[in-house]
Amino acid sequence: MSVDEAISDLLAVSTDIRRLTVLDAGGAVLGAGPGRAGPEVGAAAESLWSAAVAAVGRDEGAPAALEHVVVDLGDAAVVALEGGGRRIVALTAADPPLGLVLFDLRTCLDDAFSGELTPDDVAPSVAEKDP
Amino acid sequence: MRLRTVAVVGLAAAVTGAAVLRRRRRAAPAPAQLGRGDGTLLHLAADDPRLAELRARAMDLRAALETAG
Repeated sequence: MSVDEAISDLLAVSTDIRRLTVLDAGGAVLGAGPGRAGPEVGAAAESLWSAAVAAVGRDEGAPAALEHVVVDLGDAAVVALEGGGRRIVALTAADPPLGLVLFDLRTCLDDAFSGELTPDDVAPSVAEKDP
Repeated sequence: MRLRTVAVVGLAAAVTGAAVLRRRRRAAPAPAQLGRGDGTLLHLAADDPRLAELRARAMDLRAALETAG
């Protein structure tokens, strides 16, 4: 499934997600819906993410890596989620069911890149060729 | 007898109302939630100084998402 197909599927089933964009590790736009997204989405997502990392870092205890951020804006919420080296950001309706929205975004990321080989998939075949 | 019935119904309504209010207060979402990879969550309260920064950046991201298309 392509990124655009995964985004279309998610927008078709979710009544809470209004807009979303999938970004690569460098913040480049890989896909968006509805419509297209410009590079400003990547920059704004990176800005939010670094503020969230700083917020977690200042919390007590040993923080694990940040996985998602949800900020309630009253009439909407902004959600950012990272997985597999990619990031997905979304604008939702007010008071979204967070568990469901996070699950849907994770599923979208998984579906979009499910056909890709990871370094772990490639490593054994390379090792077999070595004498 | 009638007075007793009214008192019982009134008491039941008050208890139910208090329970509903309590549940609503408990279910109110935090202004911001940060999830870590280990499954732990950090909720920022409305008076948390970190919230203003996050809100400002979230507003920028919202604007960027809304101008897309």
